[in-house]
Amino acid sequence: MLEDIIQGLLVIFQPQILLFMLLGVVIGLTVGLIPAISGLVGIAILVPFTWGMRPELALAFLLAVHAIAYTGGSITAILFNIPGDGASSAATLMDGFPMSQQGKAGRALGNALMSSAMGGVVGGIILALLIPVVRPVVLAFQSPENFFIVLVGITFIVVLGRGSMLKGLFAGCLGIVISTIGYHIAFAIPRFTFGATDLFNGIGIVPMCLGLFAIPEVINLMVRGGTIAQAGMTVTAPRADLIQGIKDVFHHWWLFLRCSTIGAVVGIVPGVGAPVAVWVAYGHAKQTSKHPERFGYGSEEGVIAPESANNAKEGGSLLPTLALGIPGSAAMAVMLGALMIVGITPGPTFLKEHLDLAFTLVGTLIFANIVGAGICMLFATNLVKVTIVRSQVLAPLILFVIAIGAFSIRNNLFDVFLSFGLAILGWAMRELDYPRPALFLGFILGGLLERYLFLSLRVYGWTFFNTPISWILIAIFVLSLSSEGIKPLFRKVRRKGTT
Amino acid sequence: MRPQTIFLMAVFVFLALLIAIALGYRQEVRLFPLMFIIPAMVLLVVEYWREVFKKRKTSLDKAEAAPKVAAAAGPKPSQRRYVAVVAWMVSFLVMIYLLGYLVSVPLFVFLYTKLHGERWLVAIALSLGALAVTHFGFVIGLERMLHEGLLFRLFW
Repeated sequence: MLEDIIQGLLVIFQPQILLFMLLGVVIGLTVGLIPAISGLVGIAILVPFTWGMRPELALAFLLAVHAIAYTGGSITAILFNIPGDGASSAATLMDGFPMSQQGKAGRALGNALMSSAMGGVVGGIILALLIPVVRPVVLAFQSPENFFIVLVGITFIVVLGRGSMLKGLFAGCLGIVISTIGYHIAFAIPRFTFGATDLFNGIGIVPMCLGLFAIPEVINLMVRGGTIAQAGMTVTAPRADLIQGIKDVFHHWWLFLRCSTIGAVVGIVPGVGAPVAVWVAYGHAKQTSKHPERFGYGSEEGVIAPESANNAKEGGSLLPTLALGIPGSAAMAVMLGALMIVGITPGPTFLKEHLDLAFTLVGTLIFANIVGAGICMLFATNLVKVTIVRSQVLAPLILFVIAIGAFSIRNNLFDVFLSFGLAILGWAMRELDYPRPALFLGFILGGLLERYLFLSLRVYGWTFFNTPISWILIAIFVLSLSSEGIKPLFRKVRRKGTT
Repeated sequence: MRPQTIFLMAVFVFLALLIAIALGYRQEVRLFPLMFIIPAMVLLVVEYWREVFKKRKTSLDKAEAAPKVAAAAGPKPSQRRYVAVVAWMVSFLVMIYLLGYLVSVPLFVFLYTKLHGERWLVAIALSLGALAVTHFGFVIGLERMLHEGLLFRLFW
């Protein structure tokens, strides 16, 4: 095991991997700065181009993009009051933008960038420490346990994710149904292909990813028009202020450590994601601060807390993704897809067979966060110029990259048309508030779910669920589904009792 | 008819069609899809019922709430804008099919940026940049073979 750990960590120092990580950092920063294009959409667009790459290269590249997008998002949050990466930067602007308005933009940026960098490192270290602990547990999983853990995973992201649970369950089921298109795993009978030979191997992860996440955002950009930041906004961030901001993080080191740990722990819980991690950290910082009245009016603690948690949670969310095949967030669901594209099946077998790759990802997280923050500190005020790019310039550029990406997997134009066709579903779900991550997760895990069910039935028969771990997982499955239904009933009963 | 209703009905028809097809497969092949198609349809019916029930319940307050809600949400893009965006996307796909990537990418970038008010220099520079990225980045750099275009294949 120690050999695998060292080998995995040493891989990141290979020149090609360093180069792609650096490229990923730059792309991630750029993506994070553009609110219309979150880290999730960024990796969705880039996934097709990792086809044919070595697994460690592809994953290091994508993880670097995703991990650093949050850092980029905090820059626009502080400077323009625009959360660059959606909900995950929303807590930062509570105090970051007021600091900017008070002429302390540089200090706020220093707080955010240093907290992000160190938060990502803490998240990576926590991940590294937990992998050996989780490993013996996952070695006990056979096909019945794997079936239920995948089912629980899909349920978690449905129940704990945003929006209506009913819509989430429906989306998850629909995703699983879509995954059955193509040849049956054992009998080689094509299902639901409607005679289209291009569908015999099923719908690809890339067209689904692009159609669900990337193209609807481009449509939104094209429909909305305009620029992200207002033209004429000027930004200054003197170096001295940046350095003061960095020193603040060391001054508040205990707050930083607590919030990073909160982020990493919350990240481990599948389906919970960024908004919960950053707001829990922000709330904790306010409650424990000696000056809570300053929160919301430009407190450094109000920037350090969410930024530490924001980047630390990535380390946490990688753990269930790699070890159990249950993505900790929507972006991790796309990373799951990327793992499968490069020929690696995430889940309990991953830590048995690819422990070195797991530690390559740990190393990538740490490296990307440090380098990303470093680049930001050098070029922060220049990088924000990306936000005044007009949508009529941005949209066609992103669209052509998507069109090339969709084609390049199988050199088949059908995949391009399929991506745009699936974008109708993605767009409808976006507008009608159906959770797309739930559908995507059902889609990518549906194949695994069927394989484990098929194996379990063949080996153990219909009583395959009769193992201690399976019963525990079934209980978790039932409890997680029923808790959302029971909560309103409890509220009603409580209200009747008090009247 | 509300968009939500149209969406639910379309998915219902799709799932019903899948059930009809699945019944023709052998048991081991149809088991897993049916395990999730049927719950999906049940959830869909429940969601539709909730939509109808919510519609009746809120219609009384609609007149009062509508201005406040609209003000909070901001101006909604017009229907024409959506149609225009769809038309652009379909045109791009048709261009790729007929002319191939190396022609349609710079052409699309140029047409879109120019017709949306960008200056000639910007539009030309962007389209040349897109062509350069496509050819040198993807074709030569990443060694991706791109679709040549039906017209070029037929007449070249």
